[in-house]
Amino acid sequence: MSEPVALSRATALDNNPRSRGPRLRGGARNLSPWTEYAIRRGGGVLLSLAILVVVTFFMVPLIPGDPAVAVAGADATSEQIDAIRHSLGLNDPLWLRFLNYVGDLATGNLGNSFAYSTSVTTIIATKLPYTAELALLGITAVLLISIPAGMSVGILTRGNRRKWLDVAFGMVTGFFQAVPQYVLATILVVLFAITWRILPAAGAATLTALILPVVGLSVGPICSISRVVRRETSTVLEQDYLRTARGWRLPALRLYARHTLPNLLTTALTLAGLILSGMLGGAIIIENVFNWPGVGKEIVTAIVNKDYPVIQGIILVLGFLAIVLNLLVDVILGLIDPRTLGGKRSNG
Amino acid sequence: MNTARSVLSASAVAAALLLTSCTTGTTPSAGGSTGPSTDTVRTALNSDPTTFNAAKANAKDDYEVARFLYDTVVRRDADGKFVGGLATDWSATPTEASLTIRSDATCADGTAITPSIVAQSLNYFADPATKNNFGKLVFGPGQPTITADDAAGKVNIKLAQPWSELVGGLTLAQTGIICPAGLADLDGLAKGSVPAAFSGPYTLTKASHGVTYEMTLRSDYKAWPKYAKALDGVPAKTVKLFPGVNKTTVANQLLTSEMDVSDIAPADTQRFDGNKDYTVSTVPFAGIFVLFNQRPGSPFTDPALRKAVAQVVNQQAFNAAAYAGKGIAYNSIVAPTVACALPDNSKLTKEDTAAAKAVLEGKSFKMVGTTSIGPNGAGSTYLQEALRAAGATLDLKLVDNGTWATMTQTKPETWDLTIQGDANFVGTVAASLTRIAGVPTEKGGRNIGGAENAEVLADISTAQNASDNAARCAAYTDAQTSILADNDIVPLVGEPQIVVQRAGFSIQAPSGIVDYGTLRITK
Repeated sequence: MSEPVALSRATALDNNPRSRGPRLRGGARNLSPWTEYAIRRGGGVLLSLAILVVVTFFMVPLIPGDPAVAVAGADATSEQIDAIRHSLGLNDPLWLRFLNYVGDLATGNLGNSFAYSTSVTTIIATKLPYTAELALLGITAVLLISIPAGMSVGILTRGNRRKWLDVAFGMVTGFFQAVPQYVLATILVVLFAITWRILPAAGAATLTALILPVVGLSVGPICSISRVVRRETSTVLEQDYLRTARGWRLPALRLYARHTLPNLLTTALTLAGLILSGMLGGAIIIENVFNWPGVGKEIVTAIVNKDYPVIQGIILVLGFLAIVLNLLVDVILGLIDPRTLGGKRSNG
Repeated sequence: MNTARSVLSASAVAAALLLTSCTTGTTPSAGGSTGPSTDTVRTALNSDPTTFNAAKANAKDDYEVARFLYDTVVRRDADGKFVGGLATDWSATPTEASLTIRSDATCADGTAITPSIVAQSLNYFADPATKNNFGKLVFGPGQPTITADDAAGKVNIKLAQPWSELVGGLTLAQTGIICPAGLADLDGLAKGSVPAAFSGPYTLTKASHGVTYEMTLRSDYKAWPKYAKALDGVPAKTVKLFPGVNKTTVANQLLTSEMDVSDIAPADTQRFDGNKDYTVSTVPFAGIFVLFNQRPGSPFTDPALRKAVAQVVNQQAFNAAAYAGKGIAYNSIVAPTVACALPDNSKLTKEDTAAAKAVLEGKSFKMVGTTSIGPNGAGSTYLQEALRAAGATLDLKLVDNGTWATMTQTKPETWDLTIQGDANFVGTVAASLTRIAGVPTEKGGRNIGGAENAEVLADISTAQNASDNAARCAAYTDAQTSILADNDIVPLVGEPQIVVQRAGFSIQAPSGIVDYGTLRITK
């Protein structure tokens, strides 16, 4: 069946939330939505960064224990410990240390590790790519699997069709979502590395070493997002504009890819942004099980060592990345659905 | 819009792939396929080395890498006897020593290692400004005078006070000889970025913090120690060290041939039981004992209370709780492998729960314990439960190592007793006795217990003045008997260092101390 004439289609698709165009707020000020958005979010980013710097600096010294003792080692004398404390600047008043810290940050200097003979920047620059690699591959896998899977199930079960599929999908995704990461990771190692010997158990020496950590990291989020996508698909498919589109017998690909997918992407991408931020900062378990040399392991070691500059540096960088990622997701959402520039999302 | 989305998606994938090329390698997987060539040994470190400056090494991983990079003047043989390293010959009295330095040893840049270079390095090690933790254990109290006679090929050491264990101290990796280029650039030395600083068989060719460290065998190196029985196999051309690997993950990697030699956790040893492709060696890494705070005001200034605690402790139960039964039985404050250690457990206070209960009933104590003794601090939890069964209440604070060290060394008011882990790298009785005798930690000493223990100090002094082993051991026996009679400590077990070697690889542990310089490929 051919598509309806242009006039009818335009009228009918006016009900498609995406086709309405941006609802401009503050139009009287004659600023474009993007300019207004940039100003608003730019201020938010700066405020978030300022809070991050202050909180990070004052929170870290609350960790119990004396960094100088940790650095000095078990056989150090109190004289040596005092000398180390002095050389680390720990005898200075907190406000002075804060001023020095902010001054260093302004010049891009994150300081030197208390425990190791190296700069914090070097440590982060060495380890962040590993974590970023894992997280980016993980989120790519999550999006590539969960969106098609969730949409497919949503489409196949539309209008209470194939009830069994809906139940099975819910059970399987619910189960894998509930399995703790360390359990899943251990099972993966036992099966694929120790029993079948087809993949490395740990390390980052080879490309194949990426497979198990990425799987371990992605399974939970895949289940979460695919469940959300399934639910969103069901909702979107019940919208009037899609009923109309189906009535016109639009080709399936056009129907789902052009008119359905964009309307469920806002939720999926918002979630994916949060999950990616979490993966960057919270892949500690996966990094430990697979000996993946990322920042998650580093921050745990730094906390144990009372290595304040490393802890502060990693939190700061991860926090900054989380802020940037959230901003990026919002920009993408703005591109997909310009109404979100005003702080609202589509589909109500 | 569609174009924008496509670009964004493609960018994410491209970024991940780009990072992949920056991080992971492209060599074939070891898992079930090709491993590295047999000229490479892969091993794990507990964490990153804190420094590559041997003289400032103060953690296990520091000593481990120092053994690859720096030669010491003397080494230990498999039976614990001394063999030559950079020195071909030596003579020592309690107050001085003379070392004859071999003439064929060179630094990594080809500079000949002369007696002057050796003396310069040892002077740097002994210098209080270096602020290392081991100078006093090697040279004893006071500042030694170390001079070189290049014409005679000798280094002469004069001690400030008698210290008969100087030669043993000079086997420590921390006394490794640092070549002049390293001493001229101390920052670079600490970072490992001065190849010419190295006097040992390997140079550091790759250092990626938290990822991997790579040592490469020097082709011009000749100064191998002459052990009584030559070691089987050949040294690896490349040694790869992976820092911060979880011990259970290490066990996985050993089983999948991704790791060749490494320490594992006691609970993982059963995974290797009966597997003839692996050799498992267990040595005592650190002595574990109950240590009492005997400073004025602490309840454990009362000897009856210390004895009662000793009476409730069961070594086997502690061993099962903390080390899956793999700990090594201790008869005293040092491992049975240490020279002059007590030969049996006859001096230990016998278990007597009923007698202990009569003393401990209703008493309350403060304990600080580290989570590193047993899984999640199970060793301290065992003691808490043992005392609870005897009617006492133990307010246990389980903290990480750094916090524990802070509390025990600088805040004596926060604890009455603790479980001490004592890594005795020098391998002498004196090194452990100074934990409970002499100057307390808050006054700059090593004595964590806080009581001066003059009798023990006198025994240590007698031992250090002794010119023969029999006299030295007699004094040390007296000291050990005295601390056990007074229950200054309650020996538990030795924390096991369990080293697994895959078929084709070997490593030695002379005198119960794993020596990474003896790592060999035997296949």
